[in-house]
Amino acid sequence: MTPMEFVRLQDELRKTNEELAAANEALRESERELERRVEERTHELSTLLRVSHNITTTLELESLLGLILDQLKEVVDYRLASISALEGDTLVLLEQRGGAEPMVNERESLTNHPNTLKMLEAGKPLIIPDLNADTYLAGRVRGNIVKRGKEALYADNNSWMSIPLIAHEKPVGVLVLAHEEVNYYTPARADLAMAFANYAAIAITNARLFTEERRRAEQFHVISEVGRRITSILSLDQLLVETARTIRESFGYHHVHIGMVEGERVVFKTRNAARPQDEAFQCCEDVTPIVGREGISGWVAGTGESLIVPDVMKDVRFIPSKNDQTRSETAIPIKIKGQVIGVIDVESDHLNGFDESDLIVLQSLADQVAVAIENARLYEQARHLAALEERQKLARELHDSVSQALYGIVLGARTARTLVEREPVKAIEPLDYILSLSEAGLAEMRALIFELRPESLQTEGLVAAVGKLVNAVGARYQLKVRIEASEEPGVALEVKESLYRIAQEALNNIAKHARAQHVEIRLAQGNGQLILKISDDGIGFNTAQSFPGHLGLHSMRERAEKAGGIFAIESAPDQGARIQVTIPLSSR
Amino acid sequence: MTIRILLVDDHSVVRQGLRMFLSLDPDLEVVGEASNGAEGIEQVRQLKPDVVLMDLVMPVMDGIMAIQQLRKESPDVEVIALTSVLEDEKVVGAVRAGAIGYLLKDTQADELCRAIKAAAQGQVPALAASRGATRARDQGARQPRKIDRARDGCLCACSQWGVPTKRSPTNLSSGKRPSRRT
Repeated sequence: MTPMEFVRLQDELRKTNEELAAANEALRESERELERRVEERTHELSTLLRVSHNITTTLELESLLGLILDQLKEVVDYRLASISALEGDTLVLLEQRGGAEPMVNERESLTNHPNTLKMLEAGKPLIIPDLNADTYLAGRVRGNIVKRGKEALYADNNSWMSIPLIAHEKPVGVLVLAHEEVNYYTPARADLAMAFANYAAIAITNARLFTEERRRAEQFHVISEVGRRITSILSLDQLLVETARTIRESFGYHHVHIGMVEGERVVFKTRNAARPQDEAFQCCEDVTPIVGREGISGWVAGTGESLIVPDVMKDVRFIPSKNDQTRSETAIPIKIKGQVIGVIDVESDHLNGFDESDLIVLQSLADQVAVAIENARLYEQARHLAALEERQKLARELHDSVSQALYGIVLGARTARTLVEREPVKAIEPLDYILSLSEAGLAEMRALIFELRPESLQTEGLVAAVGKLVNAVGARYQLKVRIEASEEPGVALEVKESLYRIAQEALNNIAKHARAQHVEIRLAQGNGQLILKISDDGIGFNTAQSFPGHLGLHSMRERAEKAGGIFAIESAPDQGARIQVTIPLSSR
Repeated sequence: MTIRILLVDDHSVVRQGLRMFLSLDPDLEVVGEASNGAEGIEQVRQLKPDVVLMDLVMPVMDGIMAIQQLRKESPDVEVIALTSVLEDEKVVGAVRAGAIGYLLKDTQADELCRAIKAAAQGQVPALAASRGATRARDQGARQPRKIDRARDGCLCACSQWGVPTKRSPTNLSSGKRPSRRT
């Protein structure tokens, strides 16, 4: 080997060494890069796993949406991000992060966003690397931003990515991210965001199901609560007002009216259910639509079918009133035995304020209201009947007492007048008769007035009340009634009333059936007991058999037992009768 | 000859007043009293009165039932229903049961005597204008017959009795009990 060859070989060897060193360095760099990328990927995946776990364990929809966007930032960065849910063909923006202007609850029809629609159908992210680039897609997005007046919102965002939210192979919404860096959303970041979005979509679906289930449970709770509340209300007006108020407060509806079908019109009865100073509500209450011809309620009353009007301005049946903010409305018939008796009318200040689930709930409430209305009507009827019976009883009492006394007075006065002319001395007898009848009439009137004012039992007491009764009955039937009473017993008013009614019934029975000469009433207290005893020397009866006045005895027994006492009767033919009511004082 | 009267009323004050008032008329004599329909029937059997003044609403046996039974077992006894305004509806039942007429308890006392005398002669009164009376007439109660004033000088029309009629005045004048209507 020549020196020249040696030098050349040495150079080659050095070069090779250098190349080897460079290659070695490159290899090391490559290893480091690989390690860095593995580490980065591991970090990304572990972050993805962690944040996915975070979001899939959250069931509250509202907090979930915020959490998704916050966790997303850990996976893929953004300056502006939003989540929109798909409702039919409308995207409703539910949550956002970044951006000075709030967009929550904004609604956009998919028909105005063909690219988003395509993206949802393809199930793949849509990336616009530079919003300011002169490309078709960037131009479309820019145009849309301008159209919506959101230039300020997107001013500093240069790259843009839209990701479909797909759960169980169905699109449920859209995730939008924007970043100031051009070309920020690389395919790798898009993959990562897509993986995150898949978890987010499932989490949103679960949370919605949870929310829906919880809402349904709350609805059933409210239905049950309304039912519980209204079935105990027996005044029809109060029932309707309370029901309307409860429905409004429980479900957060804007206005709830309940109207009853009266003749050919629906007449609203829930004026008192209004919030303070809700003028529009009062105006709605003033409307009385003709059944089957006017208004949404009128239509429902006429057809007997429920109705949802998503946009009242587009419905000719809607009757607008002053300051009315109603945007959508639903009305449900209240039926009894297939007959429409009223309408529950619910208004919302939003468009599309009602869906089928509202209808199910309101129909269930309407059914309960129908039952409650029927109960209230029956109660009103019963009250009316009771009042009628009370009036008839009073009329009978007047007939039995005062009118007979007055007739007797007329007869006596006629007699006296004739005798004054004929034989004045003999006029004394009819005059005495007139006097006694007048006194009896007065006693009767006092007893009757007492009947009309039961509160006097409280103010005057049981002893005084029974005394008046004895005077009246004694005068009416010319019975000798002796009363022996202790001091006023310290028992509840209802116990006093029961004892008074028992004494009244017993005296009536004696007067009408017993043919007694003497009656004795004794009211005594002692040994922790209050005892009312009524005895007569009349014809008596066999207590084991049916006898005149047995119904009265039955009612006396009921009254005594209701007052917590014991009723006992003792009688036999020709041996008079003895009634005793014993009330334990300790239990009162 | 006096007209013998039985008073049937559960209100003793009314019986007492009637007895007192009717005793003023020498042609009338209250021969007994009863406080319900059943007692009234018993008294009729024993006392054989000419006229019974019968209250309608009474315990044990009411006036209508008592009138029905009296018509069967004592057809010679005329019954006048004695009613108050409250019992107006019962007038139909009383007249259909066989009462010759009815008197309201607010009737002027003078008319009471005239009515009793007319009834004792078997005169069927024109029913007074009340809802119950109109219905009684519509439902085939005894129809008033034309009065023969010439043959009966004692007839005394009064507003309550309307136009009195005479069933068999001759029997009365001859001292016999009036014959029953057909």
